[in-house]
Amino acid sequence: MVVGTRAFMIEHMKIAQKILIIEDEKTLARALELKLSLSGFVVKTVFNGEAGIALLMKESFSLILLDLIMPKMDGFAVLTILKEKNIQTPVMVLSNLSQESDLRRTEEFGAKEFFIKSNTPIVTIVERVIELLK
Amino acid sequence: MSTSNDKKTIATSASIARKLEVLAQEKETARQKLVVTAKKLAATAKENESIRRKLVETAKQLAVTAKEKEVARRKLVVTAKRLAVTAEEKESTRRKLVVTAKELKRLYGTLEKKVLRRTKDLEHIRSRNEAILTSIGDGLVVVDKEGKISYINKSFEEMLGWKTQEIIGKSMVEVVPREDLHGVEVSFKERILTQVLAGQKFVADLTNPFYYIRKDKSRFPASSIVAPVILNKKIVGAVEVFRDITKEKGIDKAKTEFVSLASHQLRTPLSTVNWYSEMLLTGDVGEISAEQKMYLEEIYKGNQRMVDLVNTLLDVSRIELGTFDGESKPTNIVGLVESVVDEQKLQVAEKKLKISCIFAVNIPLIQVDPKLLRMVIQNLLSNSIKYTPERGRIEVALLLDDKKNVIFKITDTGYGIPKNQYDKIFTKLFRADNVIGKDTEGTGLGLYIAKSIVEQSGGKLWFESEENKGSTFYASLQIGKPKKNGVPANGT
Repeated sequence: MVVGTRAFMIEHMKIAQKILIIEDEKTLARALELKLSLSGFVVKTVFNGEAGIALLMKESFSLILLDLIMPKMDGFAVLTILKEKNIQTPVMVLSNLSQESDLRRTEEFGAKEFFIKSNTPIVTIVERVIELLK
Repeated sequence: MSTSNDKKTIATSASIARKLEVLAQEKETARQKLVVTAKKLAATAKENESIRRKLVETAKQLAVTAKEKEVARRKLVVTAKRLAVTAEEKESTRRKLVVTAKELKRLYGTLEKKVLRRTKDLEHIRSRNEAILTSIGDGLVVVDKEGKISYINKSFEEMLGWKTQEIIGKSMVEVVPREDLHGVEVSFKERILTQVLAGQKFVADLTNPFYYIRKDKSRFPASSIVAPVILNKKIVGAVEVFRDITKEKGIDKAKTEFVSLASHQLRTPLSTVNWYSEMLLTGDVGEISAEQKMYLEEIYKGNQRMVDLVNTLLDVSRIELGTFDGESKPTNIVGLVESVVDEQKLQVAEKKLKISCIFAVNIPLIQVDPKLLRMVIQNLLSNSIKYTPERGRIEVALLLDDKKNVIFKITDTGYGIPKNQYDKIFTKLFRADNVIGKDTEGTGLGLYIAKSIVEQSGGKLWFESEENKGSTFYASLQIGKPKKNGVPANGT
């Protein structure tokens, strides 16, 4: 299965796509990083919104995986800045918030996806990432 | 003797003759005198006659005059009588007038007193009303039909920073701008005040909060009620009462933040356990033995249950706090029930249960939050599945009652609810003791959630049950607009 995914990536993505993970929970960030790397993506991870924006100003990414509750600068602030700076990188929100209002806010900022981490197997996230970047 | 006698007799006769002669003469004289007198008398008589005649004439005239006088007198008498009557009447009138005048004077005095008293009363009422208006904790503004401010109270001044003398006679809409929740200024046409004055709206509701902009350009969240002032069927102005809802918003925010924080704190470690056990299970860090896999699956399953429990608890807090921010909309309950049944068909199949659905024709769309209604049906159905032994039957039905409520009915041939626990079955975290041993997965929250949701949307949830025969749960749902979300299920 894992081998199959890797083979798929190698076959279909001559140039590895870059994914930025902005997630303050280091164990979760590491798990995502591991899974996505295994799927053939180049992954960079930062632990708060500020660092994420700083990196986005220097490099471009194919996708951002964004947590919402974070120190220094939370995910909503990141979305606001992305909009202000007209950075069009697609965003997938991975959060443990689940209130309708949070969902709507991220949608208004154009987030492509909203996953509740505890309710979503990591494999589902990886599959969705592959689908989005196909 | 004889001669002597004769002589004597002759002498005597002569004397007598003479005497007679004298007498005759005297008589003649007298007669003549009488003639003269008679003549004189005749003359006098004539004169007298003439006088008499004159007198008669005069008498006649006098008689006429007398008559006239009599007439006149009589008339005078009549007149006098009349005058007397009139005088009497006048007197009576005068007396009456005197009485009336006195009465009037008295009344005037009383009236004056009354007017004074009333004026005082009115002044008192006026100042009391003014004091009431002024002291209303909510902002109050009265405008004329052009929308020009004619009165503001103290709270208005305090909340918006304007003084009465600065804005009286000015347009409310222009002086005090309004912004919607996104900070966009509400245009003149869209202002509720404008619409109320134009007769387009009668009472604006409180459910649309907005921001009022103060004199110093700062703003505060507010909600208001605007109503027209109607005089002789014409709108002559409007009254607006508004309040600062910073506190209410603060409470709402605090509630939402609590749920967010709880979500975040509880779910983050669960996510870690989930993902790492998942990665171990999928061999991302190397092959694992069958036994290790079994253990890991236990960890994973246990964690899944924890995730479900946390999700349910979060739902409970959101229901209790009234922060479920879903939306009521016309919902096809038939479709919804079908999809829930479909969703749980695996569990139905696992226990070899027979499930049947009966839907009355013409079930209308009902105004409800579909997510919440789904939760109710999911809970009731999963209970029936959970608490019905293998090969049992479940019957799901949608009916219409005589009051045109939609009734969701679910009947099972399950364990039933012990009679002595009927009253506790909807209590949070309660589980009937006849099922605790049979099923370990229940949280005791499902029925509590279902009942809270149904009741918050104006419906009812109840059941009939007999131990070891089965239970029937009913949820009656109003078709029309339910109450707004946000009423906590209980006092917590």
